[in-house]
Amino acid sequence: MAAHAVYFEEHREWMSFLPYGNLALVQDVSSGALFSGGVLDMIGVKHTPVRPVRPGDLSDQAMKDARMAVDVDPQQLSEKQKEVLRRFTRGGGTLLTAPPGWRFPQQRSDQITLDKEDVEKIDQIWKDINSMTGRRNLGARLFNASSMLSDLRVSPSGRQLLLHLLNYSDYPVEAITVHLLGKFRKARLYQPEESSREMTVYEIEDGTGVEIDKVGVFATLVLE
Amino acid sequence: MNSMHRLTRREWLALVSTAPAAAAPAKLAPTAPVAIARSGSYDEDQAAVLGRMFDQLGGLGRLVKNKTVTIKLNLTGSPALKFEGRALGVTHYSHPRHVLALAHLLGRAGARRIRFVESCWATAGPLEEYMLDSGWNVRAILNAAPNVELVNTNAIGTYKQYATFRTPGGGSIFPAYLLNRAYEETDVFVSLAKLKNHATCGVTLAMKNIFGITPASIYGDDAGESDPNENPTKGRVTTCHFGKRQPARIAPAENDPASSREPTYRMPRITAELAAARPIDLSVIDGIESVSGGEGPWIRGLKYVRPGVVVVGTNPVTTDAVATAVMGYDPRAARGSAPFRDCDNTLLLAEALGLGTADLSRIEVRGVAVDQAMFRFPG
Repeated sequence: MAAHAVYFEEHREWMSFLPYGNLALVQDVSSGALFSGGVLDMIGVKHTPVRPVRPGDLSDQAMKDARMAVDVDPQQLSEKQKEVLRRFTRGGGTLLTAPPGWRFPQQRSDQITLDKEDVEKIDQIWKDINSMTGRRNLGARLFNASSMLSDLRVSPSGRQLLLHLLNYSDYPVEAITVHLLGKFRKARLYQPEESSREMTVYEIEDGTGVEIDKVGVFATLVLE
Repeated sequence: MNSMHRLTRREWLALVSTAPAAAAPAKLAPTAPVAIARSGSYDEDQAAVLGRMFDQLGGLGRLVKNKTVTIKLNLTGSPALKFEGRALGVTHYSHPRHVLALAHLLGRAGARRIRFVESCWATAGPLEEYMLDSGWNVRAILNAAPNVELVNTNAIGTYKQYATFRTPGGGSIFPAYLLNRAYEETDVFVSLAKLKNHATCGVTLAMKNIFGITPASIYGDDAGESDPNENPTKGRVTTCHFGKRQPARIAPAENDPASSREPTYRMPRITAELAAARPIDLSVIDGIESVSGGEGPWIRGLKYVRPGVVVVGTNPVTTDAVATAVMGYDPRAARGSAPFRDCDNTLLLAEALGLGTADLSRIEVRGVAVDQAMFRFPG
């Protein structure tokens, strides 16, 4: 634990990096953002980079890099916020909204995970979300990373991408492949208690590929 | 373990030197030599290991030169499901080093096109991505030889229609199978299998591996009733193992819907008739590292094992028979005896279809002898 705390202390600049990805999820606490096992988790399991956008923060700027968006609770939006999403779709973005009358399960005060009925309700929109995102690269795609959590971030300048990888299994994960959207010339891998090292990057159809041989518990890939 | 049904080396020698009482059909079935090699690690030069074995069988060139070679991998179950955190290739999947070695040897022997295929579990997505999810170096595989292709045959893919493969003699379960056309565009069909037990069929070797050629779009649990579901997300248990539903109507229905719905009756028959409908020209069985007690991590009691052996042959029945013997079993064992304790013997069913003999006394073994290669799997 101490080694990981030191690791982040040594890279304080990463704290200023912002969530990145071409998929925006319009959601806040009242529409299930804090539910474990909710839409955000399900997208996260697929390692699809997603930027949560609170309805109160919905603006053209917030939707700037998004190509797709999911609005789980359209009734919650004001007319002004709906207009932001209309401009988003007129600009070529794909918007998935929950069906009319559909509402995200209401969270009880003692509830942190979804119960069975909630899961069934979310399943009604999950199939559409899954179908919309499919195998598209919305910032990064990870392969052989089923026992990992990932977090894609962008530097304030927009020149660097950072991919955090956390392995929660009892065993190291080997042979992970990362496909990043866009062309990157350099990649460097950081791991706690190890020297950082330059990684080989190669061209793929929609951007840049990187292969990581092994991740123990935590690793960070920095691209520019 | 019940030692009654296990072979000692002495028993094995007795088995190959005397024809068994139930050998009548075996005498009619064709035979072909089988090569065995010992290899303790995938770090050994697998191209050299396999190359020597192919030479022992008369050389690869005569079989594959200027041909389209289709290699059915064994990538059973989701790549996310690992056993004891080990790489998939050292437990229940084909090993990427074998794939690389085979591609290299096929290219060197003059194969015109080398196609690796699998009906990837619960997806119609690209095989390339399934391999990446399995931790494989896809770029290395694609560059191992000229004209290497990867095809997921779990749905129609890039083709306009499926190909029909009729079961010789009309079949026991299905009279014909509809498969991805990659299996039709094949001059030489290779089964790259793993030396494993199988919970339903006792053993899973070269023949059982090709159950995976059936597309879930048609034979899957979420196949359409009439038309195929080109985005399958499930396996084939309901349709094939249990026969609780028929395949999509685009494919021929079962011969006899009143026949046994028992998977241990159905799956050996489906396996044998698939091997008859889409014949296997070359069987490569990887037993360097594997699992015993079942075919994948979803089976209770699975164990990681290191038999350190590879078995290769041009007849799938003779190759499976020798591989079964290497596992310490009698390949002609009847239902009730290990490894066919609860199921019918796929090898005998294939033998009855005339595909090849399971009679060890009629199979010439080249390279390492069976008793020298034997690694006892559980009884």
